[in-house]
Amino acid sequence: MSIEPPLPTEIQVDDEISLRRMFDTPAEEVHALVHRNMEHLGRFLGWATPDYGLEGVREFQRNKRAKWSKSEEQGYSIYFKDEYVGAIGMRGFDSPVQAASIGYWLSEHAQGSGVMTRSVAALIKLGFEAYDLNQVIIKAAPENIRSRAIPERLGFTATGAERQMAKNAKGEYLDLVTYSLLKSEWAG
Amino acid sequence: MSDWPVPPDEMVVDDETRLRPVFESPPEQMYSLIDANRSRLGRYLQFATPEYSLEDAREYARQCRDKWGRQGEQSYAIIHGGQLAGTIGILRFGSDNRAVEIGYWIGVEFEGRGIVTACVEKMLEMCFDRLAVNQVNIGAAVDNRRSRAVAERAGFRLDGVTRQWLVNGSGGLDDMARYSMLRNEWLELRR
Ligand SMILES: CC(C)(COP(=O)(O)OP(=O)(O)OC[C@H]1O[C@@H](n2cnc3c(N)ncnc32)[C@H](O)[C@@H]1OP(=O)(O)O)[C@@H](O)C(=O)NCCC(=O)NCCS
Ligand SMILES: CC(C)(COP(=O)(O)OP(=O)(O)OC[C@H]1O[C@@H](n2cnc3c(N)ncnc32)[C@H](O)[C@@H]1OP(=O)(O)O)[C@@H](O)C(=O)NCCC(=O)NCCS
Repeated sequence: MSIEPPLPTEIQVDDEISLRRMFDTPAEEVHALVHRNMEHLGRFLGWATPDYGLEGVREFQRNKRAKWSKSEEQGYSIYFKDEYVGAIGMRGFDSPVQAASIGYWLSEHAQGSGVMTRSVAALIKLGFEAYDLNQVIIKAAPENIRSRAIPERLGFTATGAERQMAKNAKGEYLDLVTYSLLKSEWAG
Repeated sequence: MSDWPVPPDEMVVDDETRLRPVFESPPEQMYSLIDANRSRLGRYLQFATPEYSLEDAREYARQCRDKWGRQGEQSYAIIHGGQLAGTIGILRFGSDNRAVEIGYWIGVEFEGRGIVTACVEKMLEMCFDRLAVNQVNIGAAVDNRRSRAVAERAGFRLDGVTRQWLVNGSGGLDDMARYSMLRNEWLELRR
């Protein structure tokens, strides 16, 4: 019953998709992709604001690099056909009930090809097989239809909501619909 | 994060009941209350294991003293008629989304008199008025009828059930009913 980060430094999801440690992506690229998608991301992610700066990205990456081997949270950049298109992270390795949660974002132009669904499925597999997780949790705003479609597509169960537990870029509160998948329900 | 006020050291709930820092009660007293209620508490609370000892009570008091007034967790002893009756705590204060959680337990001889509900209402007043939180949460095992009744009596709303989430004193996992009260709902209730 032990969960021992770190996760692998690179995960080959399939022929088209690979995940690489988030801090190995040049900060300039992260900064540029987020700014190109500011409006798209800001609807649901509180940190996607116009003042999202390059120095902030560097600081964030330094921080995560230092904590990689012991971190309770591990993040990857998503590469689709070798192009950097988004990010996915898993946290909760320190959970007393072996429950981890997954969060993600994708560049607007990379939507619609199952990149995120496939990436999430790969992390779930790793979590259940290699890290002995008992459950995986995903949370998304009720209005975030595309994001909710991911756990729904992967067979998660909706377990209610959390009210006003997130904020968008305008600083407005968002509710979160909660989904969970138990290892015992996982189809493998 | 750092703009959070600190919860008070003491609160008067009513003529007979007050809250004070948990470490001001001798660990011996805390231990014997927990020991007398061990299996009842262990059904729902992780710390109340068959092995729970006086040394654990001492350690807990030390930790609470160290953390007192800092962000994270602050635990109060419920003193009723001069006697130690149970505890009630505020968790996760200092979080970015201004949401806190409260948790509680009381000895069997103090149960069924509305003491806990009164303490929860006092904590709500403190959280919303003094700490300016946006929301207060309570999580209780799905089959913990008494705990859920406390939340419902105080006006909390049921948001959902998190599965296999609460560790109990025997190491088993219980599903958790999630309750919340938002600031605007509390203002409405108080009118
Ligand atoms: C949430 C978000 C990642 C979803 O992106 P997405 O592209 O819709 O999700 P996927 O990559 O899994 O793609 C699913 C789509 O690809 C299609 N698809 C094609 N091949 C597929 C495959 N092999 N597997 C799954 N879906 C596939 C699906 O049918 C679906 O199409 P549809 O949207 O036309 O119904 C994206 O909208 C986003 O980043 N939004 C902004 C940030 C955000 O909200 N993050 C989440 C916060 S909780
Ligand atoms: C959960 C727990 C704290 C609830 O204690 P409680 O005594 O039932 O709660 P209250 O103090 O609010 O008392 C409510 C009872 O007092 C009665 N009461 C009497 N006067 C009252 C008053 N002025 N106001 C409210 N209730 C009053 C209520 O009708 C109710 O009685 P009932 O249970 O017979 O219907 C207690 O059962 C306990 O410690 N359980 C074990 C540990 C635990 O589960 N903790 C919670 C983990 S989430």
